[in-house]
Amino acid sequence: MTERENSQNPLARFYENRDEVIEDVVQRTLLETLSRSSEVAASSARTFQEKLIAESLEQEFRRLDLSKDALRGVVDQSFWQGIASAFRERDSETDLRPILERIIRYHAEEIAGHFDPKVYKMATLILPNGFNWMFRTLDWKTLWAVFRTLMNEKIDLRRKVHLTGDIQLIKNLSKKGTIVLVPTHFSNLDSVLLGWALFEMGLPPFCFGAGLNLFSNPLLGYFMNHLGAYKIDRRKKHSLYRWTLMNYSSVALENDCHSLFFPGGGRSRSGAPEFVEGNLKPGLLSTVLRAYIRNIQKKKTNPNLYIVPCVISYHVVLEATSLIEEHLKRTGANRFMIDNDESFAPKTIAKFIYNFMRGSSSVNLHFCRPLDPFGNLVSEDGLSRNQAGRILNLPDYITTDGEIGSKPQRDREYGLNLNQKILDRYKQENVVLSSHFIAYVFFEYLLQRFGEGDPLRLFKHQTEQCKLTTDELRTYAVPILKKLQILHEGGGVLLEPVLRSNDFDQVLESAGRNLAVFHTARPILVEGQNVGTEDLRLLYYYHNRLEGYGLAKQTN
Amino acid sequence: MRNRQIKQVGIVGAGQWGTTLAWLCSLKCEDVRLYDYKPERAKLIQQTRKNKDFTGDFEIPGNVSVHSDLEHVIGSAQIILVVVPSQSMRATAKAISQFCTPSQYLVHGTKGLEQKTHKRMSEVLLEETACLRVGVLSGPNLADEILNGLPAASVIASRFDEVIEGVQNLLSSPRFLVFGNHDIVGVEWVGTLKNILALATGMIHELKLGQNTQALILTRGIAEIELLFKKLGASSETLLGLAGLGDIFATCTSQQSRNFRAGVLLAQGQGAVEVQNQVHATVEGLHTIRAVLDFKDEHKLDLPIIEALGRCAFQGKGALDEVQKILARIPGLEKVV
Repeated sequence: MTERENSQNPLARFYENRDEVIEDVVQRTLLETLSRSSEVAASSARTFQEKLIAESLEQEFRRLDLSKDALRGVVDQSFWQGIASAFRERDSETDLRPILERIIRYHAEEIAGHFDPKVYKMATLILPNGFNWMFRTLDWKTLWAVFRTLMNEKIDLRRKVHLTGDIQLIKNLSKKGTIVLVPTHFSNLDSVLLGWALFEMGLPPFCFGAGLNLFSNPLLGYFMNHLGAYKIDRRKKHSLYRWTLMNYSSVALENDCHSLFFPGGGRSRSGAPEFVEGNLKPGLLSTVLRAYIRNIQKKKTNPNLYIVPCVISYHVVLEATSLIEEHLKRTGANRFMIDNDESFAPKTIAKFIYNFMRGSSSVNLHFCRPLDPFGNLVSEDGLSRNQAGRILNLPDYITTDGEIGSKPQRDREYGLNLNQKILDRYKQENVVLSSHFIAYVFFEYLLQRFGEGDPLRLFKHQTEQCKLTTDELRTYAVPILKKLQILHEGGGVLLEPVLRSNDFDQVLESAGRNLAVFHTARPILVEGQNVGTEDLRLLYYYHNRLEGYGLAKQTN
Repeated sequence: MRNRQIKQVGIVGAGQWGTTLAWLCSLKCEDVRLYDYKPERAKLIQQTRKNKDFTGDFEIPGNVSVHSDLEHVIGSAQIILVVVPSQSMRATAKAISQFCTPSQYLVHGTKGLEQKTHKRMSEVLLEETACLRVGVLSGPNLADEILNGLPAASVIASRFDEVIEGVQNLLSSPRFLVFGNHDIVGVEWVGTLKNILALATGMIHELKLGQNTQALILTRGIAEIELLFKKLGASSETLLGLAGLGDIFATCTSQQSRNFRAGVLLAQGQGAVEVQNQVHATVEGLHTIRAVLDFKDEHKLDLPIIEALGRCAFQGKGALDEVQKILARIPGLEKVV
């Protein structure tokens, strides 16, 4: 990347001033904390601050007790012991501000990422050439097999990863304001694919928050650390951490850094897209409005932020087995992090890529219609229009009593509204693949025949029993396919071309072929005139991808 | 907007309730603009200061101006009140969207659902305009009584505090109390579901089954609404509040209520179409029954009273037979909530 490119790259500029960014984040968070404590009764302000510190200490020591990262643990332990000691020694006159500031700074330092243009250039070169970082730990046989496949397949990700949607519009908008990409999240490979896709689209690098666990892999961590990723530790729930994280994201957006959030939080455990459960995490998304308000207050030339939802559709998900197990066993939020996730095993990833590149499988990344921070659709000129076609003056939304500014209660409601609009886009621009459809109808059929509508009851059956003829499946599936096609024609969903035809056999063949890739126990097995499964839970996982449209009700 | 004076209000709909609201607004706001879609009538009201069709000889104050130019009425208003029949709401919202801006608060005072979509009025407003700060004003508000200076109260429901505060500030007076509520779903639904109860009480009245039966049907009807509320994500507190029980009392105890009269006709063996033709105006309760029956099927709810009303209205079943079927059910433990 040349010096000129660098100066045009907001992310590079942002990280050139890393120290100033951290200082800005610290001072904003501190100011907000003090302002929050002044909002409570004057007599309780100190208690409020004490509670914040105590909350941080309690949660951090608990986290450290459970931490498996010995090295990081020592550094953290020493810091938090220092805080605990300063907190213990306080008296009624002690100013708590320095303690609060130390905690906030500690979080800001941890969260802040780096951007190294050289690493970015290297990563964008090597990524299309085969994810070779993950092959280092493979035995030579596997390595050779993967290498040979990749060479034979001419290593063309463009053939495998389809980018759909109005890409030109997004490119145009990236010059008129800041893009906030909000994808669905099914796999740890999402970030890698998105990184490649954005490069392929000719967009500058994006700032993105990545789970701290992803940084623990030395090689992946190295790239994450130098490609503009900032760290999100999902185990940290205390207020001071959350507020620091929010401000970091907001500062990045205000500095014109195009950003990427996974608004659903972690990967979908059930395999269902985010709109099925219907709730997105309000946290990082709320920073969009916050940044917009600041941009307006600062009278920036390009104050606009454009939210671009993106739907990722895999035929086969790398971590499907562990995710569905987690979903079924799930007992609470403390089980959020998956230990020994199969996607972290280099061999598994290599096998996945090997099969993915070699087989007919593909991934679809659909970039939905962009929204403004208030959920209105944005047109090609970068402007929002109302239903009557009138151009909207967006600052009107943040005007109360004639004044432009933040209003916490109002802005929370705007955040909920934006969440809903993103979910609406996910649902309407969801690209349904043949594998999703066949998994859906097959599982629904089994559910009614063997499970009395209850998946758990169905899971008690042997997979050998869960077999039917293709004719039986066709009879059940065709009316649902018709319903799906009508929904598609009305703009309620997107279908891959094979689903737009009325050739059920072709749909079944496509699904069987794509789902045969990778999983040892195949979720769908098409043998002659029979359709079966080797893993009901996996079938359930892929079935869930088409939940939320009420399709089976038609046939029931 | 708490304690700040609202300088201009636009009211869309110059019917009885619209005119009443214009008067209430005029007590606090210096510039109240009332929209009537009929130019001739708008002119007449403006000249005579009387809305003969809806409020008789009530004299409209000088700071209320009446127009048929929608842009003039709402273009620069801080708060827009929309008071039109439910089935005109979408067309009105489309018209409003030509002139309104996202800085304005859009509040409606219409009870009922859109027939075709079963959507609430605020949903229609959100779909058709770019305003997000929307609200609903609802409660036991008989316009005649309010215009005669009798005390009354209402509820402003909105997800936005500032809308609640703005409307309270605009309309509250010692004779007209305005309570706030964040449960816009509950307030809108109960404002339309109460019409079903009015149908039921009208029917029991006509069947001459007595006050005890009326109390029974009303109470169990409220329990059915509670069941619906749970599925709709609405709050039980709303049901117990002014927009809930308050409005149910007012509607079900008034024999002049349109829905009560429709209930009487149903008991006489007339179907929904005949009832609608005889009443000469929209009977919201009948449309609401349809909406609830669709919803009930989707969520597998047991709503015996509403189902029985549906059978009388749409399947030609006899009212007395249906009441007897309800009475024949063996009651378990009494569950209201």
